Amino acid sequence: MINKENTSLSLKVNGGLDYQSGFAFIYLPTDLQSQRAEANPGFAQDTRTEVYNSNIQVAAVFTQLAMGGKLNLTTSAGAVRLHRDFRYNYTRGRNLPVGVQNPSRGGVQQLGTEYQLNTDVGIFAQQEANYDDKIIGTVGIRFDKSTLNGDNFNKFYAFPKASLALNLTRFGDWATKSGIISQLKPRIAYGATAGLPNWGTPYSQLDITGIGGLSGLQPLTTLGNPQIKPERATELEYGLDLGLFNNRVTAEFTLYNKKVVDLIQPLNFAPTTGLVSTNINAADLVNKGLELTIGAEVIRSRNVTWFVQPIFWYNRSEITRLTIPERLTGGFGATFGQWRVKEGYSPTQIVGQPRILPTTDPNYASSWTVYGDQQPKYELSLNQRITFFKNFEFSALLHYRNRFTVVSLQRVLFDEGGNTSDWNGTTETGNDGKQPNGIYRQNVNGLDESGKPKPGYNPSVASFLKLREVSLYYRVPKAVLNSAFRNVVQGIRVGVSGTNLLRWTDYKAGYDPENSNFGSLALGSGVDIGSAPLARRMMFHVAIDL
Amino acid sequence: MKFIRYSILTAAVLLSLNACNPFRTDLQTDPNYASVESVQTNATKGQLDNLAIGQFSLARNALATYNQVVGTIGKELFNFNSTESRWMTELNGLRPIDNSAFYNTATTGFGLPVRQANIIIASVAATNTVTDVQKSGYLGMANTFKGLAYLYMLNAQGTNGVRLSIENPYKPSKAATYAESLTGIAKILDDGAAQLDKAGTSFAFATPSGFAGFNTPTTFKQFNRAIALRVAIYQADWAKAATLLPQTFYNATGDLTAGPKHTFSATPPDFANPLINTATVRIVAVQKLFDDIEAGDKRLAKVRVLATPATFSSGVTYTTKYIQNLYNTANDPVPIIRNEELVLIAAEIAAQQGNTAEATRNINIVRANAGLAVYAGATTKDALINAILKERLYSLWYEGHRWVDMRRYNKLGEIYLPVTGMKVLERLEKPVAEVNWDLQNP
Repeated sequence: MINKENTSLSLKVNGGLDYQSGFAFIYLPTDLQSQRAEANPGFAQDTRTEVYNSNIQVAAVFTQLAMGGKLNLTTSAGAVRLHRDFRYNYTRGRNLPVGVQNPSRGGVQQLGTEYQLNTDVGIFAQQEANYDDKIIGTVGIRFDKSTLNGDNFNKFYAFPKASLALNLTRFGDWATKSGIISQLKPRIAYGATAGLPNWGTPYSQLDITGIGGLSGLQPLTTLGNPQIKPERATELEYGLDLGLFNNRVTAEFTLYNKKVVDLIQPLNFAPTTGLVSTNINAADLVNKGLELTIGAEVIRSRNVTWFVQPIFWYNRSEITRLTIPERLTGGFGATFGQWRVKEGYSPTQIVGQPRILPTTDPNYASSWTVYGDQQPKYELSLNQRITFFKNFEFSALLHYRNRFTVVSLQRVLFDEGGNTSDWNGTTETGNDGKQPNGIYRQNVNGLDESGKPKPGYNPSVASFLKLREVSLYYRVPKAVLNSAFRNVVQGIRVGVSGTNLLRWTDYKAGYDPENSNFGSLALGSGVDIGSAPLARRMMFHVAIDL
Repeated sequence: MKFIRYSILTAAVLLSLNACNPFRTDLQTDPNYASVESVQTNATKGQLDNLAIGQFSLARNALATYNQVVGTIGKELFNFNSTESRWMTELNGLRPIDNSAFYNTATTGFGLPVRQANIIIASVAATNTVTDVQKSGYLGMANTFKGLAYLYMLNAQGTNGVRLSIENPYKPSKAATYAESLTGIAKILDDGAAQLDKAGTSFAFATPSGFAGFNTPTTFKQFNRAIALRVAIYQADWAKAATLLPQTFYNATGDLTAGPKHTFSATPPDFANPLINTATVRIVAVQKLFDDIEAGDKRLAKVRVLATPATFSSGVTYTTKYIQNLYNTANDPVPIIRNEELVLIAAEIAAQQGNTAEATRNINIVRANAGLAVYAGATTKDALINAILKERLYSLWYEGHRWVDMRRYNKLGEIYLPVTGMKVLERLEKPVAEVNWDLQNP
């Protein structure tokens, strides 16, 4: 709109629409062993989902050069409106005729439809300043409202942010003189964002029920909370970027302190009230951690280059405020281990039977034994890339996770079925050598006379080292391509790659300590009941560029 | 051309922005469900009717867990569950009982029918779409099921007691003592009976087919009084029990299976009978109980003899040849309370009050029905009570009574233990969320 020598003003209008549709089908044939004993054998489900998202953003950007072109100022402000429309329906059929997969042919049918709609509006303003690439800073603020916030749907919440970075190598010529340091950049950043409540949080719902063909209404066990507010996640991150020898060696060091205020947590009611929970802004959570990445080109020669990149990181969590009763979640009960949400403790801590205090103590009921933390002490990964004879490229990614706790039911289940490899052995830690390990480890005998678990009990603390990815590629040289295909083919690359090929672990209570029966959850994944480990895959690749 | 098209597009966007305020949003109501608020003021008759059906439906909540947990603890039956060994280990005292496990449902599953009743009571009070007589019908029905749900909850919790006021979930009352809990439940049932007296000749709402014969305020009250009778014998208040007995559907010459029933259907939103054997759940009888049954006892038909005895070997090993035969299909109805129980209660009241002839007369009604000879044992009070407990064991097998009966007579130590090391728990543990609530809200 305006474009002068030292100033410019532009107006940007962005809009987008996207539409996704999904189809999922599950079929369990009528003559499947697990189905034959069912009252209504055979199962099929046809699930369709549609998501329609739209957004429109209007922003004005004003740039200005000052101090003789050394200071670059960018001011932007604008507004955004987002709308999400989600529709889901399924048809489920049981008691299917033999060989039929269509759920609508089932003797017993069930239908389900769900709609979700929300609209979010945001207003933002930001000022960026860059002084001669020496000092780079930003301050900004954003105001957001969302219809997911129940009765607070029309209230704007403010989320500020700011960042500052110093490019020290550009202050004077000391860096060039030293000949070693090519980049030295301390940085600090702060930002706040909203965590919106899940769909449905404000609603106290009446579900339908039926008896003898009569239709009824009954409340769900979750109580709605129309007073819900968004969570506020703030992150303070500071670190240093370092480059040596013309950036042949790089290092990034970052410390962070993420604080989530007004974390939405279920307030668990006394369940004999007929209600299980309501979601409220109940807790503050702090995540502190460290990340260190080093990258180095160890060998750089005509025929061989070898790049290594080790990364070290860890995270520690703590619930710093909790206004709801402490609660256990995830897993299959305290006998096997559950996640405990409790003030002053890590929410990923796994606790369970037996209880430590005497039964006469008023705090007996929740005096759980701590088994460990689902989060590891630390993690390490090592990425390597070697190219040799110009056209071969080899890469490998190793991942090490140190001492994390797994709720393992797999060995219990296998012991109960008499299927563990050392069932007949007698050398399990703590076993007196008089009975088979398979009996010793089982529930009844896994506890000593005082009800305390004997060694070798569940859950399990484990570490692992995995070769996550490995690959070898060969690129056919240009000269060969030119002589063989003239200029029709620009490139040919062939290779093999594998994922999850090798695993070293001290985990004895199952196949793979990374197994999770519940997939990925904030709290409660990492329960191993003997599901198949991560797929081990080998792939052969041919890529031809025309 | 291109320029014109872009201009039209820009104009359209600007127009649509002008047409509505882009910052404006509206309260999003729930597009999927009816809300609790919608029935709390000025509920229509249709809404009240739906809530009433919900109450009948919710009377089946936790039924299977309750009957199976109580049956297991009382050692009348076991659940050979192929994916859950705690049915056999923890519930039989072979390892510490947990307050955070699936069997909490035998307590907590009865909170929902109580809440439903409270919603109905509040909705009825805040509407004028039905007459006062009709209102009494909704209230009497709701209070009856509320009392019944509380009674199951109390049976599971024993001396831990129950919270008698849960209208405000943020301020539920503390658990009352066992005696206070029984008094409170009796009061709820008495309120229901008084409301049913004022409810006219018919209910305003439809009732499920399992309540045939109990679907008017007068006959439904006989069901209400039968539950109140159970409470009275748990209170060992024999005079009160004797007063209540004739108000129930007790019939010395009638069908012993008479009584209201839960009905089921596998078609959603209804559900299948949850007490049947499935691929994972096999309800088996403790073998000795049915090995020891008197020759010719027709109640042996409650179980079926397996060609190959069933063995459970996860955590504990036990073998039995009897599997439950009461419920075999998804639509089989389940009795809530039967005339047979009332006859045995009549015998118990008489035995407690020293009326030996009346006690044996009622025992013999049940024995004759089972194809057995008249009772020939001693007629002391203790002998009669033991005889009644034995008849109750077989007559009410898998109906959730054995453990409660033996507990109220302080005879838990007399329960036969099929596996060395097994114990009979006195009560289920207070669920962990109940404990935590009280710690947070002292």
